[in-house]
Amino acid sequence: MQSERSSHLNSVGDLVEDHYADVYRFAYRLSGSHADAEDLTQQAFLTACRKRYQVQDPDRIRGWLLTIVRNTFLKTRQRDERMIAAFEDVAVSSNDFDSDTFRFDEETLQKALNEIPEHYKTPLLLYYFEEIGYKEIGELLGIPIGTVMSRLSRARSVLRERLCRENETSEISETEDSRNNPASEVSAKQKDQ
Amino acid sequence: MNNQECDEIRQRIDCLPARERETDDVLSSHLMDCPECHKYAEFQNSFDRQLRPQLLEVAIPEGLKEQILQSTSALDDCDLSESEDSVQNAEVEAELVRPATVRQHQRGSSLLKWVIAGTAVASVIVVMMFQWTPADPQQRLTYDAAKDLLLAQFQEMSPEEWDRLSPFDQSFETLGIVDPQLSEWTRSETVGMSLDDDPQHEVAICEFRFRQWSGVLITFSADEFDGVPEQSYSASGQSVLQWRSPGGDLAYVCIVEQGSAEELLTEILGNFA
Ligand SMILES: [Zn+2]
Repeated sequence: MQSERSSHLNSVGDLVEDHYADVYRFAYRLSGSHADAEDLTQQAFLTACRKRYQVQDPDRIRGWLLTIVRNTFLKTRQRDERMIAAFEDVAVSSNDFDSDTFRFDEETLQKALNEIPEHYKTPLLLYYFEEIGYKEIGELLGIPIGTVMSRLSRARSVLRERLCRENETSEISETEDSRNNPASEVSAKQKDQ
Repeated sequence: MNNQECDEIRQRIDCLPARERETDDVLSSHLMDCPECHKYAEFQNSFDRQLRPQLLEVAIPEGLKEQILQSTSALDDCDLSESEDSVQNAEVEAELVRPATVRQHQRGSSLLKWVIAGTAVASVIVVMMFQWTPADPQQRLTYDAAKDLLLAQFQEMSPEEWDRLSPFDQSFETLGIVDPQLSEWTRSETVGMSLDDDPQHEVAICEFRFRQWSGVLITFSADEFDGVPEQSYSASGQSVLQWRSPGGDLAYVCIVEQGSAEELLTEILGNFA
């Protein structure tokens, strides 16, 4: 019976081969650090290998792996109440949806993610990585779907606000740059910090 | 137009993946009549199309795959269900994982921890027996109802006792897909309980039905609990079963409200044979 279950999941080699890159990417976006992402990925695969015989639905292995990364991450972090309070206080404008081109650079994107507390960021990352909605995310994380909806919606609004604001800032900077004002881009970024 | 309905629609847009947004009837009918929400939906589609590839664009460190394969190779061939292996694997992990600022829940005395955890959960059970109204497990167990029950009891107990429970947060892994012995159980939506405002859930709770049995199932992390399935009784004489998951990571406490607890225990023991 045991081997029957194991057969649902390929060998450890296949598990690693198929998913290590996605697991690492998720771990990096979650932790914001390449060193932490490496540790989390290693640890997640060790945990997953021990538990792999338990997996019943092979289609859900990647989501399962990502929740292991998240659980591992949580064990290494203290909850940051001030960060959560600050995040929940961020004002989001609700009526400015004209832009249809975003050009945010890698640094801006990760910086914006780093400012999102974990319990908002995990649903957001699962949404994009797994392309799943609130019901599946709630199932994955074991949290009520109403909670997932409010967290996901909030996380997406704040991320959009920050990236679009950054986008506008850099557009303004470029315009000003073209008027021979080389200091403008720096000052816009400093202002943002 | 920007009323409560629009707010709900926009939240729905935020929470559905792009492919489901296209086929969602509720969205479609609203977007036909509401240009503002239509604009919002288009904006989100465009935003997601550009954001997702960039989110996934993370350079993978050279040699990472080989490192993982090396550290996991020892686990490839062994029978992972054996508890001895779990111990060995834990040691492998301990060596491999870089020390980090770990949350205060250290794995202390396993026996003490189990006793405390058991006491805590047993206390919860007593409260629940007085307050719980058995419901159809297909119906959703509300978070607020479950949390009220647990918090009511929590206030009467020393918070340190709850704090000694390991963070659990594996309700999906355990109850959703991975625990074969529970695959036949019909369960209400699992409620992850966080007792001290921490994002991690110390306890997961749901109502269940399995053949002739029904009741409440509480799950929490108890890696160290080395017990075999056993039956006990609450202060008021209700049957309570305790056992651990086959992988040994989780402890289950089951309040049997309908059906013979002895027979359910025999059934569970069969899975351990
Ligand atoms: Zn509308």
